[in-house]
Amino acid sequence: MTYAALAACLAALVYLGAVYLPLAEQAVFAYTVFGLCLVLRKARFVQDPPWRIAFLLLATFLSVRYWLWRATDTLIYTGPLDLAAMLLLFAAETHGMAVHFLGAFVSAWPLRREPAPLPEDPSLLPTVDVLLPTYDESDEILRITATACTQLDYPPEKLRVWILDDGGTDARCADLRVGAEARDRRRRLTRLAAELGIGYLTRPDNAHAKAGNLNHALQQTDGELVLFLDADHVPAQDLLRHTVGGFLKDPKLFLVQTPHFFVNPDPVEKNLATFADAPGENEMFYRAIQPGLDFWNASFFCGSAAVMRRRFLEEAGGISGKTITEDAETALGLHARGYHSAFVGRPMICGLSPESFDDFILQRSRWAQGMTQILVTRRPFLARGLRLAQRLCYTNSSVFWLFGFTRLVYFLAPAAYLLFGLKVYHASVPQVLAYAIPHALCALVMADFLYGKVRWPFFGEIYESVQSVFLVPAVTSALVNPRRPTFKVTPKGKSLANDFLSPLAGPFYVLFFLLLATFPAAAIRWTTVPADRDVVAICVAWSAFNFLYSLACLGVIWERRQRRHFHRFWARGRVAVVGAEGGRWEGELRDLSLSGAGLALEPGADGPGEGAEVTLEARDSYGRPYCLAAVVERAGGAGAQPELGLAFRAPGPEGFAERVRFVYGDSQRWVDLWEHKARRLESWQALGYLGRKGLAGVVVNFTGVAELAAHTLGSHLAAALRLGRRDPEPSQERTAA
Amino acid sequence: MKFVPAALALLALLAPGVRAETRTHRLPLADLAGQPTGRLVCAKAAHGLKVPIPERWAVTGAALHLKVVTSSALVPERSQLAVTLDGRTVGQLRPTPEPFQGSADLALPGRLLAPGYRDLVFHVAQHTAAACEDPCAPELWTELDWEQSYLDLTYDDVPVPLSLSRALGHLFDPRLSPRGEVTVVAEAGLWTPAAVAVSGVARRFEYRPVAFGAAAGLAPGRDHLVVGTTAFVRALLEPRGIAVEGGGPRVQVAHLPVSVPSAQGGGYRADPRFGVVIVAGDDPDQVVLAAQALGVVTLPYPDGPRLAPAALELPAGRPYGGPGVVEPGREVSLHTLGFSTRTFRGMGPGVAEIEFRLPSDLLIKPNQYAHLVLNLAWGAGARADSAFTVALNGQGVAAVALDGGGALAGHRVQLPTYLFRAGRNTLTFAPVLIPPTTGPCTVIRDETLFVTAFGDSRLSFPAMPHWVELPRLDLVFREGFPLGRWPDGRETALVLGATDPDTLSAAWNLVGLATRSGGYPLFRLQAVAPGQPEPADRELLVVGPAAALPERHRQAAPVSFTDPSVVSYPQLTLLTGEKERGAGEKLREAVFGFLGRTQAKPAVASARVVQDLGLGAGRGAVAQFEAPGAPGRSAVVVTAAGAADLGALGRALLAPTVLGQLQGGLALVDLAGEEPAVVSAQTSRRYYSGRLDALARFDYLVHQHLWLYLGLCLALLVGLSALVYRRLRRRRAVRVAGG
Repeated sequence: MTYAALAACLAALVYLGAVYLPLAEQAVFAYTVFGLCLVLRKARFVQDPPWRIAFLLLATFLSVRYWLWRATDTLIYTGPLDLAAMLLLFAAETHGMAVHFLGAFVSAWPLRREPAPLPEDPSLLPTVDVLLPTYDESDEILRITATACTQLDYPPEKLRVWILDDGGTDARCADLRVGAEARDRRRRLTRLAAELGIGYLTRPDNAHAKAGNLNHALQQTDGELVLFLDADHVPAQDLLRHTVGGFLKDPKLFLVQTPHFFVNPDPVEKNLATFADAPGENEMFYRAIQPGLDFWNASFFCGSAAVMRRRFLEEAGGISGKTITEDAETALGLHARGYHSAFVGRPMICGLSPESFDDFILQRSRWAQGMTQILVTRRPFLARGLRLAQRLCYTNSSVFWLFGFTRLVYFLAPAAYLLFGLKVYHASVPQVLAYAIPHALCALVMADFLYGKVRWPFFGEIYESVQSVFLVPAVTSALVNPRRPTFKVTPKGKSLANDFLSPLAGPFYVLFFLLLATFPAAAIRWTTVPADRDVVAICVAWSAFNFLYSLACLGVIWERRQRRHFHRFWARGRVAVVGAEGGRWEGELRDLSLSGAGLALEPGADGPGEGAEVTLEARDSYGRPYCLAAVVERAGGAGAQPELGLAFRAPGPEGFAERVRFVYGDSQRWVDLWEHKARRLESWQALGYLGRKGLAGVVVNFTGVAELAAHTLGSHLAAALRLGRRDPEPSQERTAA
Repeated sequence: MKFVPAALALLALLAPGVRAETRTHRLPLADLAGQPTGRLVCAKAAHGLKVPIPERWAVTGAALHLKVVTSSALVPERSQLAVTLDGRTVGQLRPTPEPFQGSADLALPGRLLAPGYRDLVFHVAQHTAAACEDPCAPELWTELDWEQSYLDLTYDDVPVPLSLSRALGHLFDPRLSPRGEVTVVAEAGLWTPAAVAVSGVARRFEYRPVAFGAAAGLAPGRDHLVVGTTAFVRALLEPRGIAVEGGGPRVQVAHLPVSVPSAQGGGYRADPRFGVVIVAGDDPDQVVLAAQALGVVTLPYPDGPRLAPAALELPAGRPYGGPGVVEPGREVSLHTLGFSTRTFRGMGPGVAEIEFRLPSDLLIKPNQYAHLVLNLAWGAGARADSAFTVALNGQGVAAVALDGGGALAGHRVQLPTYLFRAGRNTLTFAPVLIPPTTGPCTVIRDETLFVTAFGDSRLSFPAMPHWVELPRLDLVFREGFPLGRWPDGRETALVLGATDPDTLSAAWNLVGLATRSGGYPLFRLQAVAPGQPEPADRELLVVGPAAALPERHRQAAPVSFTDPSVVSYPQLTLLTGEKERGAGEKLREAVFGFLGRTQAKPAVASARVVQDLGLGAGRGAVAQFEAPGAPGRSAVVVTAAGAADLGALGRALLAPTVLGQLQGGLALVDLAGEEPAVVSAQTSRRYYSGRLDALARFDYLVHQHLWLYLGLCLALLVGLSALVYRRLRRRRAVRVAGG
């Protein structure tokens, strides 16, 4: 009965969506709906169902109306090339809209679950193997992660930590080219494991990359649960306390996934200098989408920071390795077997984003190719065993990665008309104002409603823009030959000594100049084809928008240096500084890293001077006290609020472990950091912010390129002069001879 | 044998009591030119006029009075204005430097003014120097003042031929000036065949106005259309000497009988200058058949005075069809739209305008393209910047470069649909032909300067829905919509409030107007006598004095035409302000006004005057509103306080100046002055006509009540949300519980 009523309601709404309204009436209707959405989006009662659902349906309805209008009124044959370009644009819009709608479906009622409690009796707890797969990460990174693993708040007798070294496999050790390095690595990591009291595993070869490594480890270990951690993902102490309980509560649970928290800016954030202000790119996924997927029992494995039940994994044949996103593929297989997953939204690991733009693209290309492989080979919408909602969720997750095509088409569509005269969008300005603009505005409002605190308006588009050029060939190759893509490890923890132009910069300059050329082309077209002025006006506005994105892209590809060894992050908490020669100063923690801390003393306090040896006294959110030896490196902010910069000293492995525990062991730090940046920005503010950052980026880019060119020219000139001075010598020699 | 009817007619003309007179008719050239002046530029130019000479005139001579203004720079020795009539030079003028303007009177020979359209062309040769001049220098011009120029035609009456095939063309001749006049004598109750016959006659006048009158009997000095049963016709005509022999459906022509007083008490003689067309049958169905036969333009009439149609097969027809109509979704050749292959020659090649109509209720989507497929050929003598330009409704849309000579077959020009208008449109071809060499002292030969546009070029307009916001009296009276949605009037009914001659006269004039607008006889028009039930689901044309209008139409009308106690009618002088609008409406107009419906809405409330009688003497009203009980259908009411005013209103509506001012939902026509004064107002409730899809009725409701639509959407969304919520709540409980 309910289904029949649902179907009837849906049919009626689709019909209403298709009803023709005169343009003025359509405008009144559309802007009324938009206004309604604008007013309602911040209302408290709309944040939760059933009004939340009504809000999403209302906003979606306007977009459906737009799409129906596009499909029925604007697809007009005017020539074969026009047709191809027009259909491409329509397909791109349809894809964007499908992802938009599926996103609304996924986020209909996010499940923000409380962690299931653990039993009082530790003997009832399951045994856990912690698997740290590694390939080429530095020993230092591994040491931090492994140390943190040993500090996990879980009975030691139930916990085993394993380093899974794929960089020191037998095959690599025997390899003539990398053998020496591999053997040395194996020796170093074996020593590290022994030092920390954890296990070291390697295998004969590197078959199936990360998935093969994990499966090999699964055969060697026997814990009931398995915690998967990437080598750079440092766990907080409470990771298992917040995840294991779910497995005791739900016997069919195969996965508890937790968020990935990154302490360093990704290249986009770093190069546009948005890290301090704006929410990180992955926050939308872990703070909005994964809770939504969890509601539909479709939260999937993200490769790390997740606990899985060994029995179900073994039943499914271990970690799946057919695609290069083995994590999502494995989860899909287990969901199809009827098992459950859960998502605990508290960030409990701290990881590293790729430092350089090319590493970032390498990582995203792998994800895009992997999800495309899943789309093609596993066909999630038709996968047996999945419920309809799960099918939609997996389809959304994989179809989303086609955004490269969509974004590129959006970039090129106005240029296609203005430069080449291809008629891609058949609509007059009044029609655009009555249909397209309210739809776009409403989509913005809906995105803000769903993700506003975790993704500012237009920021997603920036990320999509910088990736699109590279994802299109990567995804195309996966679509054409789904078996072809291979796993490539994303380098982490690199430091960049100087500013430089990314080697991937070329396409963005082409795009920039292409979009720049659209403006004079528009002026010419405006005067020479007066009948098309409507279209010209639309395309110019659109191209201007694209141009703004291209400015931001130019900012992204100018790589800023990154010399910091350990990333410093914002932190808070009461601390005290005790001088070695007496004195105690209370203060507030400001920032923290593994190498030091920044703090503000009480107003008016006369703190220790630079070079003074001190002890930092603090407590974590669990109440555990810490006393960390440090030296005052910087003392400033005299007057109202004295500030101190402390450098931790490293008195042995215990001191290091204590620092790791203090800096990385408290997940409340990551929660605070998330909340610290979680604020909404109105669309116009975001646009202004983006414009400023884009302009600043382009200025930095062009200045940098000019300096680079001058430097290169200077070097060549100097070399030429040197050659010129040297030239006489041989001749003199020859003369002498 | 064939001379017998003519000889009889001549004898009749010479008979006592009917005297042949020589008359003079003044034809203002502005009426022929359609504009106040004509400007001839460059060294060589011409401007032509078509002079209509009706069949019933035997022109014996003509005098052309021409008012001209010439450029003061012209050299009299080398400049001249020549006038040709059908290619024969009938006069030459030479400009004089002082004064720059003058007039001339030319006598035109009558033998050149035979019936038909005669070409009266004004050619100029203009020079400013004895030699070496710019052939298109700006000072090379002559302006013909059409408004002050005229043609006095002297003619004798030609007897009406008693051959039906010729008589109809003779009597109902579009070349009649200033307009044709026909008096209709119809048998009471046979209003439908009378209306069909009137429509057939109006169609024969093509797009020229014709004034219909109504009478109970024959009157001297007029052409008559007699419609009725055989018995009625016999009773009317046989005592006057016109034999109505035999029975069955018939269309017959006879000379008008006029009474001749004599000592014996009087008798009748035939007046061959006027005709009586008899449309009759033994029963009403046969009369309808005969009336339809009269309207069939191409019917091969016999060469005798009578036609007896046994059966008639009318074309099936399509809605929105008719002459000059471009049906959306179909391709039509320009030849069908009245454009024959034309060659534009020389440096002043002139322009060609092609008038065509799109359905008046077409909902034009602005983002599509119509296609003009041009077939062109041009000479090799044009410079590279010569072009064949195409304009639509006055806006240039395309140009074809004409350099080097050549031809284009199937050249496709895209015309943006937003340049089109529902209803009448004009496509203009304006070639610009420039010789390869120009400048002073250059021999310029322009024989190779030509471009031919072929009549088999085609125009197509994409299919679009029919949907229009009404009321719009401009559509009713200029486009014939919605009365002529079906060109044969099958969905239209003429509702008569009374049957007095004035009311009937007004009704016939309105039928004639509707026919003119549609260009096709209303074969299936149905007339409803007072008191008879109206057919369901029709477009209604309601004609009658205010007090005699059917009650339900009076109730539904936007203003009360009769009730003295309530608001009566808007006073003309106060109907100029805008209606005070609500805040919401102001906001909508301010923000979305440019998207449509921007016309000011004249105030009604502020202009209403309570008075003794709804419509005063000397005033008439035309209103359009939604027909009661028929959503989407229109009722067009034409009324006045008294029958005489109604008859005057019917005649006033023939004037283009009056028609041009009718718009909105209500028009009040002040008939008291020398020229009728019109005030239009948008007083009626908005309604929509058309069909978008199978659920048009629902759509109709939506358009009537936008807020209802919004409310319905919101209600459905909330309902859907509640249903979804029920399902999701259960799912959530399971998920939270660990399932």
